[in-house]
Amino acid sequence: MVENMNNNLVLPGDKLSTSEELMPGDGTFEEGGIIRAARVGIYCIDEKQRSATVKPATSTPVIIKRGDIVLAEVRSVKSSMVIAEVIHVKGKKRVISSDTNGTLRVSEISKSYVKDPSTEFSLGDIIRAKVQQVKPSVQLETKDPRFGVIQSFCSKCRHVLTKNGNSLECSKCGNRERRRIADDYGTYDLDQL
Amino acid sequence: MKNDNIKLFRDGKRVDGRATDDLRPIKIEAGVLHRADGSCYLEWGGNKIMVAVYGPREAIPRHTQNHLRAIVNARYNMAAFSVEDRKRPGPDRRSREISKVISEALEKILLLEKFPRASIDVNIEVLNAEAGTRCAGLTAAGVALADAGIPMKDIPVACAAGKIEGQLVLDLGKEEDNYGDADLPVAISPRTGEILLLQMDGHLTFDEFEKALDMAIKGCNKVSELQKAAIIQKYKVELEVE
Repeated sequence: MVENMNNNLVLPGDKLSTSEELMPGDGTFEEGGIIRAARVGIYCIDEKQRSATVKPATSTPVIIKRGDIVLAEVRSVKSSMVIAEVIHVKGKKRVISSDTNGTLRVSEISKSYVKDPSTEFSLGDIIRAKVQQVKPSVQLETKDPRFGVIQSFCSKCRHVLTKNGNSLECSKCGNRERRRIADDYGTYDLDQL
Repeated sequence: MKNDNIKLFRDGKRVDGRATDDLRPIKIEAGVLHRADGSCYLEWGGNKIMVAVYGPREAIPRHTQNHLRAIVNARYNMAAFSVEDRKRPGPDRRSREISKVISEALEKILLLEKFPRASIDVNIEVLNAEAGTRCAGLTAAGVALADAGIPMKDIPVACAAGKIEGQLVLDLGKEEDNYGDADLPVAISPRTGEILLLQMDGHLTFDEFEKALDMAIKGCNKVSELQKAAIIQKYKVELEVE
């Protein structure tokens, strides 16, 4: 329930409302009891929250939110969790402006029981995951079949692994490896991410 | 740097035909670069300036990070071909000073608390220089930051005033800057009138200073309207397409 006030553009610093009337929402700031626009866009009122917001006309900095689908690179695999750096948020074109240090707990890797994360992920893997929590730290989840590794490298020769049935195979050295792979491993389209 | 052979006034008009409180012609265009998060191209008299904004993104090296807010890295750079004699490329004393004062001016109006540990990189490239590049650079940076969607309290704007042949004038041109008595670049937040940058080269009496500051602020307000028009022009068109 977001009401569009009118189709005029507001610019940073323009007065929108007062703090007695509304809460300062997305793209606004409060100064001396007056709510002002913090970015270029269209002034809207969120009736549910009773907050003033500015629907951006420009591109905006990317902040990771709960529920976002993200791509992350595995940085370390520990006995109870995987640490992955979030490198991309689905549907966004800009680099991430907030904290990118994500953690993926063992219990969040798969629907079935996982004893050791090192059987599911390895260093350098690119994974697709869903953000479960942002504060105080970014927590990821890969339970859905869409989530998991979308690109992986051979642990012996670092060559890209290709999907072969349910496991992965290195076309260079023939090494076979196991991963928690996403259902579209190897067939993803980078433009659609 | 006095030179009696050069007359900066002729029949009450300045060398380029302006009155004392006239600005040089200004052209501003927002969002000109495809790969930058925000950008602006500005022509101010003979100045040609391109600004690209990147970020907020993780500040590197890490020890520069502030865990409470973002840092602003403005980088003012003059192209080797921007002046008549070739300028030796790379940062020098002058451009480092300008980078610093512009960074500090921008820090005052951006809402940096929303992006802890990040850096906002503002690259100001002077393609052609003709007096008043720091004002032109900061003005363009303001538009580029708005174009990048970075939350801010106001669009910063800058303009200079100065003294030539004992007379106060707005927006010094090249000869006026070289042979004039004083130059006073001022950046303000046009909504509140808060001063973001104030420098002075040369000498002004206290009275002259106050008058010059007043003049520069009036100039800033004129330029501010042009900045807003540039942003509206860019995004009005895009909204109509939607």
